[in-house]
Amino acid sequence: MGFLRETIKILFIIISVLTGCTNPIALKDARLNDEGLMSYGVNNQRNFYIDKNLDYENLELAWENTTRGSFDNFSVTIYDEFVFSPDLSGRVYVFDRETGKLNGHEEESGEMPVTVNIKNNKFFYFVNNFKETYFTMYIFNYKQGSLSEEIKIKGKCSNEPLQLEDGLLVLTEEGRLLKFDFLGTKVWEYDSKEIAVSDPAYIDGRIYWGSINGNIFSIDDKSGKLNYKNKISENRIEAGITLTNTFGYLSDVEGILYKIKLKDGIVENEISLESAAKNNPIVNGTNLFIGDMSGVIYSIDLNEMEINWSTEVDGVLNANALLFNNVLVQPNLNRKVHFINVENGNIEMEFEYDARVKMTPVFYDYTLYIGIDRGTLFAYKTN
Amino acid sequence: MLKTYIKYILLIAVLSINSLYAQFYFFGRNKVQYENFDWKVLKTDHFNIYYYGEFEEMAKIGASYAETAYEEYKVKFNGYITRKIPLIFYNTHIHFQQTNTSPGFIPEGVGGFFEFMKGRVVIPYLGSLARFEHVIRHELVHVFMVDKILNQLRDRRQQAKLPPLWFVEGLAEYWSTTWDTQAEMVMRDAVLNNFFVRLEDLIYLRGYLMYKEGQKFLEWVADNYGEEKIYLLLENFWRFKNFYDVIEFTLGEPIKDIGEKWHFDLRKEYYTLYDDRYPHHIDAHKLTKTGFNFSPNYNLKGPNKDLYFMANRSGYTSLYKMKVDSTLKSEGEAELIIEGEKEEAFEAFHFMDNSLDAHLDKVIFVTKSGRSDVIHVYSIIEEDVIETLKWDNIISIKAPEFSSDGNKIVFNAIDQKGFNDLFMYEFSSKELRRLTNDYYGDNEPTFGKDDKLVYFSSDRTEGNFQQFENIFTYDLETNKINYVTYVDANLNKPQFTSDFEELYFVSDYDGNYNLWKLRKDEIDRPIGIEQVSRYATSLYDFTITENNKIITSGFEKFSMQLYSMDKDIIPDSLKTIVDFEWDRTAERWHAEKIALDPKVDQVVYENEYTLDYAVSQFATDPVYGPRGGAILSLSDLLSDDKYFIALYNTAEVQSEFLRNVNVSISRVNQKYRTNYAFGVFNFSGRRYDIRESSSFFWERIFGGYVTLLYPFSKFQRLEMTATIANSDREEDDEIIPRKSVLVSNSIQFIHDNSIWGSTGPIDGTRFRFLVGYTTDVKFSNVNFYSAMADYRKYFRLGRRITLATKASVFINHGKEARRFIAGGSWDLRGWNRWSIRGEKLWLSSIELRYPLIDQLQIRFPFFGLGFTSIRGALFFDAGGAWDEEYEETLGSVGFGIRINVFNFIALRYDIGKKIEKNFTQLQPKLFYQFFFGWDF
Repeated sequence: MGFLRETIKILFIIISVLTGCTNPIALKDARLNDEGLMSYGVNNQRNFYIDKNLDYENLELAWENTTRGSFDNFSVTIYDEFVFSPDLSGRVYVFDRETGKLNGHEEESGEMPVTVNIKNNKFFYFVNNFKETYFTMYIFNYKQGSLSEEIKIKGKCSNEPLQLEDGLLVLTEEGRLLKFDFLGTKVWEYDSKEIAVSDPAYIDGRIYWGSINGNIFSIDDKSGKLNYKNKISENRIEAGITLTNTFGYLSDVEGILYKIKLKDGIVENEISLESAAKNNPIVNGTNLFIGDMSGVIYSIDLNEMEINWSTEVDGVLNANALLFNNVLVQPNLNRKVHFINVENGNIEMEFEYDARVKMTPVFYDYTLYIGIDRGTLFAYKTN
Repeated sequence: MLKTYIKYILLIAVLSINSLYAQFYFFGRNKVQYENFDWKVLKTDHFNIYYYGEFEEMAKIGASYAETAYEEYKVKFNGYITRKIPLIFYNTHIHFQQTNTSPGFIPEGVGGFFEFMKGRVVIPYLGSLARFEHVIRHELVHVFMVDKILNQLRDRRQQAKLPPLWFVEGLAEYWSTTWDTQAEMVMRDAVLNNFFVRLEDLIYLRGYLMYKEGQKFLEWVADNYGEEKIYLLLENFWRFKNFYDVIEFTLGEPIKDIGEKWHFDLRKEYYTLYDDRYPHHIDAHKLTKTGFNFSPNYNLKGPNKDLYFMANRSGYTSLYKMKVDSTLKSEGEAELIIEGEKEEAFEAFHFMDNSLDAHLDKVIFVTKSGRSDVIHVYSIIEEDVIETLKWDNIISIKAPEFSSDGNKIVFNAIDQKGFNDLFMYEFSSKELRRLTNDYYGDNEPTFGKDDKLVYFSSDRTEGNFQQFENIFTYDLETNKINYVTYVDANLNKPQFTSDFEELYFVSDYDGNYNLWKLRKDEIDRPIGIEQVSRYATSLYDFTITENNKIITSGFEKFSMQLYSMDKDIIPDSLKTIVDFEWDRTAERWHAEKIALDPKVDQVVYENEYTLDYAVSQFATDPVYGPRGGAILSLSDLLSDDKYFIALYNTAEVQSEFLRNVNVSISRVNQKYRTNYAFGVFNFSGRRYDIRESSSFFWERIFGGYVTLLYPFSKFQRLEMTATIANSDREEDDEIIPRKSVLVSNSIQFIHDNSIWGSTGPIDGTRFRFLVGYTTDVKFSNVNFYSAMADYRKYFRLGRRITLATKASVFINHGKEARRFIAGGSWDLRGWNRWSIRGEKLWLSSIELRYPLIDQLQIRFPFFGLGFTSIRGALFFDAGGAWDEEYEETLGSVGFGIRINVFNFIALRYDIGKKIEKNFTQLQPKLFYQFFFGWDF
């Protein structure tokens, strides 16, 4: 008996050492209620707009917690009582939404460059694998705490996936669009053969994105066939597209912002910004808001494509903002988050940090989530 | 950088207790602080800009360039640098060479650098705003790239590393400037003459070619794969350990294929040049064969019509003369007139600068001498320098030219403000007249007919061709400046024929430096330019002779040689002719300056100290047991003032911890011409004194020291050290501990003008004389004098062959005089290392150093090893050591091999025979000795 006890003790020590004190994700008590923000952007049109006022003056820090690696321009996702966040050191974390306590993490060798997607009892995360020429889509059953699938995909993941009712759409940097169902089975694939560093968007059964060659692509969701490919710019497009019912908005590296008719991809109107914009324009039905790389934030009339106002800040605006009816919450690489009055462009408030702000903010259940460099995640509650 | 700081630490540790042990020492040249810089700071949005003296206007222009570049690069790199970047400006390269931000010497060719430890950018102004802007932009690319890469790796919790140097420099060039004539000159030569280094081997390449190949590769990638690939190379950097894997992944092809495609495209691009262009040696007579030869000057009106020129053939840039016959063929080898870089008067010639003119019976040439450039007047008759001209306000001088009567000279120079302007000096009145006074770069003046006008090249060009260097005249009577040429190209080095009918110059109009001349109409008005030569690689400089010939300095096969060519070398069908299209409405261009609030944003510099590095280590020694400690270094932003703190413990058991604390705190100040250092120390622990073969003891020694170092010039200095140290020593075989309070003083004179090859000095001289005195002021246990002399001379027998000689004597005389040690690979080869001991020691060596294997490469299936410049040595050593009475003379003879490993260490292997029994017989067998260390 003593020998057995000793053996078990030794085995326990060895296993603990080998597993490196990990804290696996196993959320047995999670409810399958489909409540939360389960993918990047407020919706698949990527308009980053929340149709309410933000009581920014009463934002109070509820909790903060730290990840091992840093964040990129992705965002957290929320499901039930949990906040999911990837980081660039190859880990994905689950925090308690109320307390910020870490419930667990999983880790892989590589970086996690895009937002986690959640469907039912699974979440989907993507890893650009270290020392490999492929990336991997992982499907993790968080109730069981086990990995369901690992799907290797050639190339690099740098664009945010789209989560639809029946599956996930993944656009690789090499320009291949793949559709998977939620079991990880590939449904179809389309190869545009053009580099794409542009988060795709979806509306009415069609997927849209811009390419390095200045083309806009439209693909049918059901069949995976090309609807059209249209040259809209002589310059590279390295920004995501935002959709309304009829139009798409995206900018190129020379700072030209295009308004495109979705039915045929023809440019309806355009406007020149000071500098390149690498983030999504944000629309609320009347106006469009965008921050460019030189630090200028614009409000642009959606119909006329004319500037309502512009505000300059010192910094680089490469993360997407979050739009409310009263303020625009704009992260700035220069260690700040600006709260900008949507009517006149005044900077109403700023949060200042000691590291760069890269994560796209998320608002859910009266809580604003902001992430800064070195992986610190802040949750601010308001009224 | 770390290696250099460790050298400082060791130096201080040695100095602090070891005036007594002064056997091991450094020679070395001196970085002389001639100036007492009164630093000021401009604070802009993203920079703190450090400048001094009257450089404010140029500093504000530089600040504007920097802020503009910042805005551009934050978009390009998709990043933001959250700290203020220190930019340190020097108004000339001469002042830049005095910077303490880099501990080593800065060669002439270095135009600026980014220093990683404190994130500083250090830049000299070189007389051209375009070049100033380029260097600022180049260094800021480094800043942004390093910031991006290090953040990227830190984000992913990976260890810090950087891409290979060719990519780092290539990217800095690619994103800071367009492909220019200098770049084209180097690449054409590399491809056409087979110096080109393949993509897979670029990691081994160094020097200017590395910059240009890197830049060219990135341009090719942008053209063939898309500009975004450059950015993606940075984005993907973290993903693979080997940078070539990053390239393969990003471009989607194997590295070998990429390299071959690139090389093929380069050959396609450059080989076609030979359709209508030619190498320098075709249709021209080659006058020189080796080294870098430049600034040719044919003394048409001189007594012998000799050709004078500058050259670096031996490692020292010097002034040469060559006799040429009437057909301009050389009559024998070039004769060395003035050897440079061995004494203060000719401390440095400016490599590849136009800095020489010969006329009638005089030659004028420029060297650095002390704190500034000077113009030497050399008499051809007397064969000596008869006058040296220097002026307080002038720092850097170029391109002196005589007037027709020889009584005046005109040159361009940079002053304290940083302005690069024209000056004229008259010998008879000794008057210096300033002709221009602005921030436009004015260069290479020459007198026109009757010495009424001065022709010069300047970037003051306005309008459509703004900032190109065209040729202008300065009227000495009216002070007016007028255009002579107006093209979208750079025109340099204007020179008239002897009858002043034709004006020749070098231009890059066709993308490469070639010879051109001015076209005039029937009433002598300039109307255009006409090509005279069409070399495939650059014609860098020239001199007009007679008989329809010109002597040129051409860049080919990575050297510069002198050629004589006919003026009418190319047929009319190949001549490019350009007409001037004057832009008469153009306004003068102005450089933008940053606008600042002088009360807030312009301040006087106060020392800003930051941590340079902190290193800790713990180790276990099988003899001495565990030991561990830390070293810290702090310095101010300009690195003029440094603090070093070392703390470690050598206790073997816990109870001895406090007894074995070792600490040393030192301050080193190099701001002024006299460098000083002082510090305190406490060292305790067990020691084995190698000087006493049976002595093993515990000692605590604490005290302080002060050292002064005064450089007379770059080559000579005086060092004075005073140390006081209290020593408590417990010897194993003694009951009563031995105490002493040692005061040690020494003064030494050091000279070093040697130049180094790959494993040690190959030319020049170095020597050291020291006298000192050590006494125990409390217990009278110790009282001895020290005298040391060490003389080494290197006779250059060939470009790579040297006969090195050394003679040295070390004397400690008195009560408990310390012994010196010898034996081993560093002095008496064959004898056991440090086995020879004595209070008096003499050593001498003669060694023939020669090249053995130029290149050795071994390729294994998965990796390769390569060594270059493996040197051989034939040596003879002799020496002896004694205390009271001389015992015997020892020696050795043999041969050895030396290998330089990454410029960090030299490995040595010697085989030979000892000379034993008081120098009477050779050892029966051979000895084999392996060690490390540079040649003496």
